[in-house]
Amino acid sequence: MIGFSSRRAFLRGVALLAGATAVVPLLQACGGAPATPTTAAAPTVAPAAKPTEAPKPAATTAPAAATSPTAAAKPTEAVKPAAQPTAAAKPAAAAEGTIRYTFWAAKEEADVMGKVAEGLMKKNPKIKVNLEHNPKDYWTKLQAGYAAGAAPDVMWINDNNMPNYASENSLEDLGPFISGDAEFKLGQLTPSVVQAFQFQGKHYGLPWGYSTYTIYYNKKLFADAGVQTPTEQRKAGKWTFETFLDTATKLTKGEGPAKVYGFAFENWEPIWHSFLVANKGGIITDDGKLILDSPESVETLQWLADLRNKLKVSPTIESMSQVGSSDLFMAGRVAMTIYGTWQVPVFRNITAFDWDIEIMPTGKQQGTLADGIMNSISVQSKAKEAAWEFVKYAVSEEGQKLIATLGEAIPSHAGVAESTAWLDPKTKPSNKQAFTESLAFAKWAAKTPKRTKIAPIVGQTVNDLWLGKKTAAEVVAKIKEDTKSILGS
Amino acid sequence: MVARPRSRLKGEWVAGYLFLLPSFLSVVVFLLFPLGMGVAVSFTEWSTLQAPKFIGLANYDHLIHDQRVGISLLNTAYYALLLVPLDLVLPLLLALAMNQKIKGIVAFRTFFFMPVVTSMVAVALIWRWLYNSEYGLLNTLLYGLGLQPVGWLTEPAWAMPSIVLMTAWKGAGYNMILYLAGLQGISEQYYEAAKIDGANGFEQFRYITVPALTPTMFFILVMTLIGAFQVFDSVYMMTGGGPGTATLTVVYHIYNNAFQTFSMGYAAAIAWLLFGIIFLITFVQIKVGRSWVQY
Repeated sequence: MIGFSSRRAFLRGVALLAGATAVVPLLQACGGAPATPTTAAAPTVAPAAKPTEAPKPAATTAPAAATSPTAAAKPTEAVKPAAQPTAAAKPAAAAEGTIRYTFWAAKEEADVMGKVAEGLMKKNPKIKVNLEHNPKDYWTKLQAGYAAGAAPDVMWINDNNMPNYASENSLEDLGPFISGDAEFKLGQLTPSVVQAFQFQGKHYGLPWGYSTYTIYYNKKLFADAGVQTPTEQRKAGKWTFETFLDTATKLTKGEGPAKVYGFAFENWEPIWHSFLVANKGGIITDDGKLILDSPESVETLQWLADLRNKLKVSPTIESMSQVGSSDLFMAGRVAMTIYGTWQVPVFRNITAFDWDIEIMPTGKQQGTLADGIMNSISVQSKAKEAAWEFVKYAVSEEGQKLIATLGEAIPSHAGVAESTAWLDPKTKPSNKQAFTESLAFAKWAAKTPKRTKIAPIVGQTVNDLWLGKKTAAEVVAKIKEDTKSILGS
Repeated sequence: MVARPRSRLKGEWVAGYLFLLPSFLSVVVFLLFPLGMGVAVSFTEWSTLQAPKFIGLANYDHLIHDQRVGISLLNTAYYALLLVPLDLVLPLLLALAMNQKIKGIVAFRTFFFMPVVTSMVAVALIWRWLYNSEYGLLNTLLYGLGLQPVGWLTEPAWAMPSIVLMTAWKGAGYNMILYLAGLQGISEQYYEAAKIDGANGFEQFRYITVPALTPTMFFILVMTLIGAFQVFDSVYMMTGGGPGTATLTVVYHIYNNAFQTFSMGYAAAIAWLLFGIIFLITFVQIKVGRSWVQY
């Protein structure tokens, strides 16, 4: 190694450099540098708070669940404190100590995570969980924590960033904990979700919740226009890209402030990626091969851009520069939009009309995207046994019931996901099964660290397509060229 | 008798160094040492998650072939080119106006200085609303005048000028104070003498005020250029480098590499390139400055 006296000093050097070196404004520049907490509304955190839809380098690396603005969507049903487990919990002898738990979460989520921590502390008084809620600059802070040798014991890692952290040996392999803990049964968790979070066969964390991308629709606008809803169309066996476009066209009407669009979508990568998957396309494979240039991908990208610029059934980038499709949907100005499950708490605030969800329309295949978050243990942790107790508790029936009340993520515990704790008929949307159904055909972010490396280039380049300045074929050719140095040719 | 003064001298010597020590240490710990680390990092591949790996000059080699380095340098130069004239001229006009002896002038000066002490985050949030293409104040004004609305932050051609405009507004108060200090340092006698010689207002401005302010202008020019090449926070808040790569500046590119794609070593290499460029520009300015700075 290079002989730095401490890794902390090493990091500081880089932080200073990142601020760019020059005489006096050096410190000033560093003050404005990303690591400072003063920079609110960081692109790395909430796409909702993002400047323009243009580059969205963040959307890809952004924690999906954090995208929903803080909205007080109070679960109608109060959390029933789960009955004390029948068998008295027998915590392992070494499972004690204080652990630091970090997550990005919106406020409601943070409250629930606090309850999960309290639940564990009640169950095992020898463990103390300190919550470190980091809604802004989460990944920057986490990276800095690692470099300084002071990473939190337990942390949220989403499927998107998992390959980076797993391939860099920064997350503890939970295999020995899983096999060595008689109390824990991995089989209780939905197998495909657990699999999605495995990296090269190893468990670098346990997913506490996941989400699938579906179509959200405004029931009132459909009724007013006398058009079949996506759910009705699906029941009739014709919920495809063609009928989707047809529906969007029929629902687009009005002028000026009364303008209603059939469909609106954010420029975030997971949003358009969902359509690509539903049409047999994609961005990159698990082994790091670009498939964004496949004919299916190009065709779908062009189709999406045409919805905006040619067919005009979807608002342009211009009119969506500061209002997201979420705002337009809530204002009753679009009939359909697409989001992950995490959008539910936000839409529960809608009082003016009824809404529901449906799976993605079928293109060349049935498909969509899924994303999720796992609790991982840092290799730097000094209280790994206690950390494991927490990770385990978060996916236990007790912990998962707390998480289910949020409505923001589907519990990874299969039993809880099928129970009324999640499928509560009293809460919207009524067609919640569509979320879990989508899992069967959903794709997850490719398990390669190269994915996040190409993300800024993809985001920057594809913008010209949405602006209508270039065709899908042109932007894809450019992306292919520019990512060569990362992906090899 | 000879020994005493020497020992006193020695005592002062020690005390002197002791007084120096805190600032010396802070320079070493927070500046020199990190600078050295930065050089070292630029020769490694380092994700920050595990120990760095020495890779020689590979980062610098990549830098030459990275199209985005070129793009971001051009964008940054464009930003500087737009910002420098605004930063030189606007505050001068403000300072001239604020140099009048009228009632409540202090209040006016305070108003113009307020954006300087406001955090960039707050300023950027407000300006994003001003720039909003549908509900923003600017487009509402344009619309009222019967003009076409502009995609201030969404149109690639407009995004950079929009950021420059906001930055110039925010920084104007600071440079205004510098000019004011300069203006008040000019002796009344010059103006009286000029009046007697029959010089009109413009001539007084051209031949007395401007030359007397050249040291201030030089200072502003140097600082603005250095600041311009390090622009980050406004871009981060307003456009995230977009649309496309329209506002991708060098420091934003560094940030992307360091914190988005886990290439801290490469980010350090770009930072050194930036250092070199800023160093060179400042060096040239100081050389050239001698020819036009009057006092």
